[in-house]
Amino acid sequence: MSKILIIDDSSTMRKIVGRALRQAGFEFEKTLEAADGQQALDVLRETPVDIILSDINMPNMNGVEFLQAKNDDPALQSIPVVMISTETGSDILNQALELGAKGSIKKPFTPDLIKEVLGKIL
Amino acid sequence: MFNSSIIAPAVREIFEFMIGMDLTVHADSSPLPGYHLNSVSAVIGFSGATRGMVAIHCPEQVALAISSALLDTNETEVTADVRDAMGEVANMVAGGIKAAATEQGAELELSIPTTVCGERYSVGGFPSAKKTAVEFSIKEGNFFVEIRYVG
Amino acid sequence: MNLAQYIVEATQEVFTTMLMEEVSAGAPLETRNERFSDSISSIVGMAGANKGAVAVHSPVNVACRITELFLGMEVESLDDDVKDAMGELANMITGNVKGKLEEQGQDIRLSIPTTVDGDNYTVECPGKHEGTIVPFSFQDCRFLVEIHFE
Repeated sequence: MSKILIIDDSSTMRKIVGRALRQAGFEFEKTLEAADGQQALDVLRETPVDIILSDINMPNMNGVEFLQAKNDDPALQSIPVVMISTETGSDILNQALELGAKGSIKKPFTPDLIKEVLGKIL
Repeated sequence: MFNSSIIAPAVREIFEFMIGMDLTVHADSSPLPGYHLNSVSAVIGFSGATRGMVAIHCPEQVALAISSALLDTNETEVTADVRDAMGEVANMVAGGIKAAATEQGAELELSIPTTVCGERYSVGGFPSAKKTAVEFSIKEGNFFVEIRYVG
Repeated sequence: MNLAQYIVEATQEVFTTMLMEEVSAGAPLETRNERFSDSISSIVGMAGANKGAVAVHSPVNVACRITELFLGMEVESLDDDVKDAMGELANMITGNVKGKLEEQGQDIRLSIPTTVDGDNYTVECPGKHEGTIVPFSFQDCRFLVEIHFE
């Protein structure tokens, strides 16, 4: 059974993503949450996860900055990250992909899209 | 990035040079009310180096005084002209803040203003945004200029 | 540039994908009712060389129903989840409209959502720009989506 971390500055959005994951048929042993990249790093150092879903635009440490920090930490490097964003093809999303994000999910998303993107990774 | 040292000069400049009103900046602003009563608010969004909004919140009599000064009329009730004028004030204040941000190397673009008025309303959104509000006084009363932003 | 069509397509897409609910669009309103009571309005600004805004206006009970669709759990009253969810709804609709406008060569960036709620308030986007307001309905719920664009 796997563990997932959802990073988004909106607590409502984190609940929405959690729900969409369940609708996509994913059952995680543990679903962790963080409101920004810095919090996410703190959470990950306590509890490693199998996959991370991350928003891009967040205060304190955004999605790109989080990827940079994660890549610098040998204990966290290998955890796959999928970005969630309203925009595709934007510079910041491309930056995230160049930093090793495994894919992106565009809002609004269907459970099927989540299944497809995460299915390739998990 | 956006604190009272950016907001206060931008507002002062607009009021003194464009609108022609004396105003005082409160060194210690009261907290922004959760709900605005019998008020007019004008909000303008921005995006670029950071995303956010600038809002001006005035009790009705303050909005009437400001729009009368801007329009060179004597407004006695909150009409479409008053709402228009407050939208214009928000636009000018946001423009001043944008210029100050540009000097700090942050490029911003503004959206169009939205005005809100009513007996009781709250203006919010994006709970995780950083917020700064500065209180000002003119002869007719106090008003707030608020900035919220992320990134 | 058919703004009403963009609004209809964007709103229907967001509802169908994320909320799995079909919404029907009515004809754009001839006159705009500026005054809202017991309602919530979420506005996202479009900034850039071309400016505008998209607003979603809904009675509080409809906003609660929409939030229930987002979260999959009962929502009894206007709380932070509802305000957040309506802001997110406006954000996604505007993001979709932005994509369509960009295909027409427009250069746009989005601001953060601003949410207004109250017993009795007026919301307007003053100025000379194209605007249209479209009514939508699902089940017994009705809400409005409005766009202004220079």
